[in-house]
Amino acid sequence: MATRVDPKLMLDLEKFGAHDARKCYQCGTCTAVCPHADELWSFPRKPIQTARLGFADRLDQSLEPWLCYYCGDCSERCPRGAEPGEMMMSLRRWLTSRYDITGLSRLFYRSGAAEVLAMVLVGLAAAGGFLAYGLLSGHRLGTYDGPHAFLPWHVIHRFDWSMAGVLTFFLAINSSRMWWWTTGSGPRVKVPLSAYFKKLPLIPLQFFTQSRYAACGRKRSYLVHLGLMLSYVTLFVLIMFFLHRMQSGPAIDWRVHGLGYLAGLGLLVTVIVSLRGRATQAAPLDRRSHESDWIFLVMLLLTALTGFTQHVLHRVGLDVAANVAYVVHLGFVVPLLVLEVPFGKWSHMVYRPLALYLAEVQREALAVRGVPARQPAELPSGIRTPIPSPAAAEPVTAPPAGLP
Amino acid sequence: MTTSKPIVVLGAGIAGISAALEAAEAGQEVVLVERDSAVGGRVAKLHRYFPKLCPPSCGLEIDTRRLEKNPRIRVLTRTDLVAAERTDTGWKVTLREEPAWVKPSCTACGECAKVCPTSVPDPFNFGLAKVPAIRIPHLDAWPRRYAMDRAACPADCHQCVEACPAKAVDLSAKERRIDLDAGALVIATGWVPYPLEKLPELGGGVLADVVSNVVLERLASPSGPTGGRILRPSDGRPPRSVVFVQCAGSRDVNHLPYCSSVCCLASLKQTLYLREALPETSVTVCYIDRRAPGRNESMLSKAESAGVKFVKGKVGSVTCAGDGTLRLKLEDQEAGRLTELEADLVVLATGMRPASGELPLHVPRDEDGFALEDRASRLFAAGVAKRPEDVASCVRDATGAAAKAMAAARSH
Amino acid sequence: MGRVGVFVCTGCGIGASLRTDGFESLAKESGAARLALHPALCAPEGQELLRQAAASGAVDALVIAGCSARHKRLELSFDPEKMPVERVVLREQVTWSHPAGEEDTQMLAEDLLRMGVARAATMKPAERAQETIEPTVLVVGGGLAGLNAALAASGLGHPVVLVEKATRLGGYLTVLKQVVPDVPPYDRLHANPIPELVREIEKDTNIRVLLATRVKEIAGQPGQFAVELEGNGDPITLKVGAIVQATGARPYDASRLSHLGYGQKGVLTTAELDRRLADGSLTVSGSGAIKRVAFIQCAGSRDAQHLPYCSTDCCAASLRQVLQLREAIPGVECSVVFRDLRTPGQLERFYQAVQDRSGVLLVRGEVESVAAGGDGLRVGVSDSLLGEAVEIEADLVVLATGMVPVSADGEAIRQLRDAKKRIEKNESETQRKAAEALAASLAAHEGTEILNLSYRQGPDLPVLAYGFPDSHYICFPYETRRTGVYTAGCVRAPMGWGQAAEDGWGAAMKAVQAIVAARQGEAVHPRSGDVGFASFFLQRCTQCKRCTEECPVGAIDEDPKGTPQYNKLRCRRCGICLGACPERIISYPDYSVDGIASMIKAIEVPEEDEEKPRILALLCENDALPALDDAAMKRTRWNPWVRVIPVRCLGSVNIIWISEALSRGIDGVVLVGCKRGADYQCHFIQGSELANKRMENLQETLTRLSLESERVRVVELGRDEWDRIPAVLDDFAKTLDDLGLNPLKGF
Repeated sequence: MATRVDPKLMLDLEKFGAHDARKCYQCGTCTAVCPHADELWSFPRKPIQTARLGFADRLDQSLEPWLCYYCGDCSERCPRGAEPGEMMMSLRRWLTSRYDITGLSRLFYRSGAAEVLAMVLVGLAAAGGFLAYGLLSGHRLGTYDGPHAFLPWHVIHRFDWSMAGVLTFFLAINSSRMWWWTTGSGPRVKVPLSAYFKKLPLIPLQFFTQSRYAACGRKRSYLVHLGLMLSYVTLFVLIMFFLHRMQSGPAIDWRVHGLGYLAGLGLLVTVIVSLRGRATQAAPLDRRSHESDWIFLVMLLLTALTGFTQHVLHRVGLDVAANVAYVVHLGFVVPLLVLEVPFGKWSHMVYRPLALYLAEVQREALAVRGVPARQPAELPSGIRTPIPSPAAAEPVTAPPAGLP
Repeated sequence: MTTSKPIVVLGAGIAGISAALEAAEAGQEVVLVERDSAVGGRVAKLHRYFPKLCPPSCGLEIDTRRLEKNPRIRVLTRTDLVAAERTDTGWKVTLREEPAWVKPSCTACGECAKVCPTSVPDPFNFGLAKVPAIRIPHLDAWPRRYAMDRAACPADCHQCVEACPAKAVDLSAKERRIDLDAGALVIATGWVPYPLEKLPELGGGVLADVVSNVVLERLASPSGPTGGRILRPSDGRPPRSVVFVQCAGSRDVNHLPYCSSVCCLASLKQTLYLREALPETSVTVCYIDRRAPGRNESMLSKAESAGVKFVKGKVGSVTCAGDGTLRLKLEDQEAGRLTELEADLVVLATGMRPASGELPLHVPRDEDGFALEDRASRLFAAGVAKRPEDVASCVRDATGAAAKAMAAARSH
Repeated sequence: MGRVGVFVCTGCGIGASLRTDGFESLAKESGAARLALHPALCAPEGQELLRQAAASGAVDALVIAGCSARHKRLELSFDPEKMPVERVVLREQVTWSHPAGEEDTQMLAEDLLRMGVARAATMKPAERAQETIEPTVLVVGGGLAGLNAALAASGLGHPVVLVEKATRLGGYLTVLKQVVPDVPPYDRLHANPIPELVREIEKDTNIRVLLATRVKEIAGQPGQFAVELEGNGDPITLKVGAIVQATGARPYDASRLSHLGYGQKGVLTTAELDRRLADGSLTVSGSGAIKRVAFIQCAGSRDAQHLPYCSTDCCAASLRQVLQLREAIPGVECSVVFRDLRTPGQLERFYQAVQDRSGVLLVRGEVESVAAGGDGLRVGVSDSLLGEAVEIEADLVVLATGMVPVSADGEAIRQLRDAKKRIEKNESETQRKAAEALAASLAAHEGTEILNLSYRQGPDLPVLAYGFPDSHYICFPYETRRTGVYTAGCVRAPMGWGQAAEDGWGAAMKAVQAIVAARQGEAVHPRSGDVGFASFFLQRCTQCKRCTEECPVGAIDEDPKGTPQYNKLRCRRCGICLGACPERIISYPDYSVDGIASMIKAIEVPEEDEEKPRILALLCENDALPALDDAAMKRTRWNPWVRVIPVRCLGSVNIIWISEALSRGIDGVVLVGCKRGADYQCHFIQGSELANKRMENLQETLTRLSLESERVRVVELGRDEWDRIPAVLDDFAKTLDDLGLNPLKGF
């Protein structure tokens, strides 16, 4: 049964940033130079062609976009300037919106204005909410820490734990959609349960080390990304579990604050490096930036800056200012978390490790089902007509018969 | 017929020769200017033409005979254009002829080369062989005369002067300036192959056994550095497998955005003579589109029935394994998977770049440097100076350009 | 018999490798009038010696023995109308290729000298033709190539008559508003060049345009063609010097493409779409709005069942139509299904620009089906790039049909006419049946005449592969097989408009050349400059018609009795007629059956007991002979028993030479010439082919003489195979050695 071609999909994808992919003339250089593509997972050329032909269902079933780290080798070598790396990025955005049941993702990715507006609204609501809480609960703006703080840690904790619950809920639904489409429904192979268990350690491994990213030729991108990610995770852990200590002071508690400085600085530096890269378009991955990329980085930057500010203000004893900065900080953190984690760019922190895991699960399943994951290199299939010459029937590497 | 000023044709490759001959045989005075010491340009270095796999020397034999016989053509070899100035009725052209170290009285007997004490890399064979400083540029060189690479001569060496029975070697020769009043100019300065060094990811300039298509022509030619035996440059062994990488530089915005037009057919031709010369050797062509327009289409089926394999997919990288085997990474798109081919010899089908940029003359060009004709200025272009094209098109187009130049030279 | 002066150059080592003291008596015995030795005939003193001899009146022909005739041509040539010259090749064929001082080497040199003298004695000065030559160029076809050809010929100073069968100029391109970019900028369409060209033509008083006119007949020869034209009014007769045929191409017959949906509603060809875009009928005729269009490339082209070649222009033409459609119908989605997208050169930039617009989709794959479905058509494509079948929905499907040259195969038409005559004559049952079968197989050629040449070999240019009327498309693309008639544009080869325009200029140049050559009485390509014509000793002619049939350029017609009528200005001096004639009545002043035969007679055949075989090698002077020169340059050795005689073409070899040689006791004859077959390299197209055919006939003679068939061998050899030719000669010598000496020796 032939699949119907739908050129409209590309028009949709263009909104997600795939502006150059129609330049692609299917030479396959991108796939050939990709450090992450292999016989089983062949990209970017194939997903690009799938998209151009408009096979949305087929894209839903694909994990390839998540296996791409946008090292940019493909974009750099692309003879047509079709930016395959950006196409893969766009496919990730598009897939994010496909997985998302709320439709928010789609709205934000297609419209930067909508995303900014949502950020502002959520930010205002959060800041306003916390401000109102502080004022209404009778706490003084001049108190920063302790149980009578303007925004006491247990209140924040209650809020962020419940927010984490909601976000996890959405992410869990979206992730399970990803799993079902790509793996669970068995579009490629029916996966035995054992394969899931066997490959389970991959998730934390890839999440924390991102060792796959290290295969990119550009080590800097990898290090920046790793730095950003570890900084974020560190701050996340500190806030979720040690907020009371973070907030205490003004004496510096090196056990948490030392780590906090390190992570905060890491976040700040990596975000600034990333922003500079995008502004100067130094590496291929920076040549094309979608609105969502800017919003994400700017929000991260503002979050980090306000976070530092409130901390410094508190240390120097300007508690009123520290509390104001805290509210502002929350006005950035909350929309960043609420919107970016389940519906935006940040969701890849879940999708990518999951996809890497599912890809290996499938590879394992193919092996178990008797289909070798790495097919032996054999004769190219390019020729349609049978080859009459007996010499041609030999593999490329076979030793010649008649030569010394 | 009205007498008119000569037309000056710059470059004596196949386009320049054709333009000069066609105009002269139609009654036009022509000056054919060539920088090298022999005419023939790039085609003289080719082993075979497509699609017939016939030798270029066959057509050149006829053409040089026509050049020799026609009293209306003046051929100036070893001559450069110094300046060209536009006048009301054409061009004032200044040429510089290199000193005639070897005079036309040379009989091509070869006594000089026998005593020559120095040897230099042979430019005709892309440096793959060594030749004496005084030599015949190549076996079928015309004018049939030895030429001297004066820069390579040791100081105070006179051995060739003394050895020459015809007293044709003159170390005191002086360069000559030639001023011409031309009715029109035809630029036929041809092309240079896209440099291999610009393709390091494909092994170009890095791996010895990654050669360009033009070098393969020399390796296959009986008068080439290997006497016509196709051998791996690294170890001199015949390759057991050869892979052709199409669009090596062409159709690529990072290199040459245009299609060089001839590389597909050049490779098809090469696969055919390779399969014939080395029947045990496997031959694979990796391509994006197989461009064999017109009757050249038959080359594809010929190659297929000769057992040549085709893979749709552009090669991403060529690396060398420890044992000297080359590995090519590409996506076999029809099989839908990434694959690795092994080869003893890799031929990069490098494209062509126009060579007219070196002229001391303002030529209207397109963004890739190909010359555009300017009838008002009586400036015309022929062959690859104008667009990437094959020999047949060069000849066709040179004949037309000659007619335009001749018509321009007639009008006052 | 002419008086021959023999001049032997002893330079380049010749003198040192030979004993020259016996040459004086050798020359005398051979009948030469004079012999002189000189250390460097090409040096000024040597040239002076030759000039004086030529001017003295004491000799009628010169033998210059020294280097190959391919060297020092300027220094050692004389006006062929005054002094015939025979070059004896001592340097390459003796000194450089055989050991100095040996008996065999000496015998070889002496034989060559004797052969040279013998031939020189038969040579006569050429007589240059002085004819009245008409400078007008006739251009048949007023499309893009024809318009350019007319402007070109006029620009070169020749009056032009431009004949177009339609009622207006412009040909196919007339309907187009815009064309594919042939000059920068390459990313957009360009204005159609036709209106501007037509204006130029109309302004040019040197060009006479005849619309709604066809060629009724063309008789004569270059410089003197008599043309009869028919149009609406009275027949027009005129004289022209040369002809450019620019009759273009027609789209491939789409009715044979039903497998691609042609015949269904909504399926058009490229040409049909062009017409509809031009007259605005595209949107009107459809049932609904056109939202999706699918282009199918290679519709008929690159297909063994239809056109085996690539029509070259269709990829660019479809991309052009994509842009035109998107302008005509905003938002229309266009898909192009192709096998290989072929946009060579700067057209790649055009491809890139078209592809860069959204709503344009290029799909590589093979079209499997076109069928009605949904609310339009469905194109089934096996997509080679995702490994699965896909389906494209379209309201309109455009078949990029290829081009078929508008040429008539003169040879086929002649055969058809002959067959019909034979049917009329009704000679015998079997003959009539055969003629009827032939006529049926050639029925498609009925009434296809274009030029209506009144030539014995048929009314139009003979066609070669795929119906294109060319002959040497790589090195000499304009050459046809009729002197003075050149093709331009898509009738010559499939091409885009830019090339067709250049083609017009090029073909006009060749036409002008043909006129110039006719005026000077010179041959055109490939023996350009040759002034000797053939002469026919008709008293001995048996009307066998071989010369009229075998001439590769149709130079010889027949009178009703079958007597050959030589049109000398059509002649290209290949000598194939001379090789064909069993009565040996055809000769050139410097190339004749007698001339070569006398060379063969001059070879001294040693007695049987000397055990020195003799081998005659007849070498094509265009390829095998230069290859042998090259072998000598490389100082390669070959068998010293070989005596080389260059021939103009293997087709000019008369069988009598071979039987003469064998009956004189020469042990074997090897003919080395160019490759034949589909990829022939013969400059006279079928020379090698004919030689082979004649050698088959020769076998009878061999049997009669009770000689082994192996004593005659034909070898194909390329110009570059200098490394092979010594081995060819040596190998033949070895075969003869195995056979033993020619038993006819000494008879």
